[in-house]
Amino acid sequence: MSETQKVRDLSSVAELTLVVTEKKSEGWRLCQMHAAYSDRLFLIYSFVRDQEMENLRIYPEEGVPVESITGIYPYAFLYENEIKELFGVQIANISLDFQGTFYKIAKPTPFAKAPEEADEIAPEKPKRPMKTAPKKEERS
Amino acid sequence: MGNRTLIPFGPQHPVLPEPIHLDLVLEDEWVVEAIPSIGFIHRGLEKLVEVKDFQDYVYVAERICGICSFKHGMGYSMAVENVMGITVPERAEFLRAIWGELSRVHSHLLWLGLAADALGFENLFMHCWRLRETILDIFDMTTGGRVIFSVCKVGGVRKDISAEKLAFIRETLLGMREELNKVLTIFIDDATVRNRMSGLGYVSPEDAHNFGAVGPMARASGIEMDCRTLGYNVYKEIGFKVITETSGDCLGRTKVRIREIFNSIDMIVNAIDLIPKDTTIDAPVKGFPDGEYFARLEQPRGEVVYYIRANGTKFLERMRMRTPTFANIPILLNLLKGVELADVPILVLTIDPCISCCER
Repeated sequence: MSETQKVRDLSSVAELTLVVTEKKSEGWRLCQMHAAYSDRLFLIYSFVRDQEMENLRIYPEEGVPVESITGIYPYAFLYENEIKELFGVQIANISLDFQGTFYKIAKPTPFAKAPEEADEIAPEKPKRPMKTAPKKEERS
Repeated sequence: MGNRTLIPFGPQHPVLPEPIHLDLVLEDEWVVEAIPSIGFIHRGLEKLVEVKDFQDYVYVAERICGICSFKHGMGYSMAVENVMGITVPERAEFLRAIWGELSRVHSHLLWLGLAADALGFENLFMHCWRLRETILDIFDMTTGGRVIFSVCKVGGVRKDISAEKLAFIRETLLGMREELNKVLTIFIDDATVRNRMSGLGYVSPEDAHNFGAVGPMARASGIEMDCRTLGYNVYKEIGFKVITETSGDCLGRTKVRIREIFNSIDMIVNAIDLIPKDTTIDAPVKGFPDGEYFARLEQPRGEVVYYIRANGTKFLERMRMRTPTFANIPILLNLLKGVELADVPILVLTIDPCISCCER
């Protein structure tokens, strides 16, 4: 692929708004946003311009809300609501906040992991016990 | 100010094959605001990647949606291949291009049929879907499935297409061109269709950019944006062209899809002519992926992004998929403002919504 990809780690969450504003003024399109875990939770903001893709990564502090970027990219509200509901990340000042009703999910924040879970490898699936045919005498 | 009314649109509605709900705030007959509500078919398929072997997950990816099934399998495989540094054999790349472009033809014909149905043009709907059947028959003949093919795998493809079948596909598509031309010209020339769609749901190039529109939604507003220019697969060799229109309305978006059908047919024919004779269709997959990658490719509805993060085990830590419908919802909400209630169904349809993809 001729596309160039970069992931840039921001030193602080506070830097986010400034960097995203710069991206907007430089003509970048917000391509997507998502949350994921390494040793802890992080958010990725992907921007695209022509054949370039640049991703910003931030590590939100627990209990400290991340500022919404809907003031800069209004259409980010869908991504932010999704991250908020699936991962339980606090995002402040979303222009259209669904208050937890974006997805119809049975369990709150189903994608969130407890801190000790974050760096764990997914467990092997438990094997189902083999079903064996009952013996002749049992059948009768 | 007129009377304000709140009208629920969906989740069950004749133009919607899948559920999405919009709260339409009306002032008399005019829409003032539209508030979306999705999530009726959210299945948490991204989470499943944590407990499925990364090679087996291709089967799950293909089942995210029944229309872009092949492209989902391919996009996921491309992301894993890039992390693992796997080079896909050239013949497999050609086969992927053939199935991928056939998927685009069938998806656009499906949409055109649904659009005709929404306009009340039942006869046109039936012709579009009749032509689409030919493509589904080709899928059946080459993969054994009409909707889910299970032919894409990490490292290549599972099945080859014989020279006889390739020749048959070539002849079938060339024969289909004339009939497609006759049927699809109705969308452009027929006064009832033109009057209904021309000028409706105008999206300026600035709005398309500012609301993050992708695919035919953006290209109909004159934005030359198509991930097939990124250089993945064999698109450089088979005559790919970015199709754009400048009218930015429903008719423009229809024209983009119609012209893309013909471009896809040309590309398939070229791919059949150029496909290498070497019969290797997959590369060995050794070890486990470790790292992260963003794969971007062009589905029939527009740009799709796959992000994978792997930790050197057989389970991925994260798979994230951003689909074109998800990206096109904001522009839909914007273009609904100020339209008449009667125009809402055709405008919702104009983004070619795929809710299964959108909600995963």
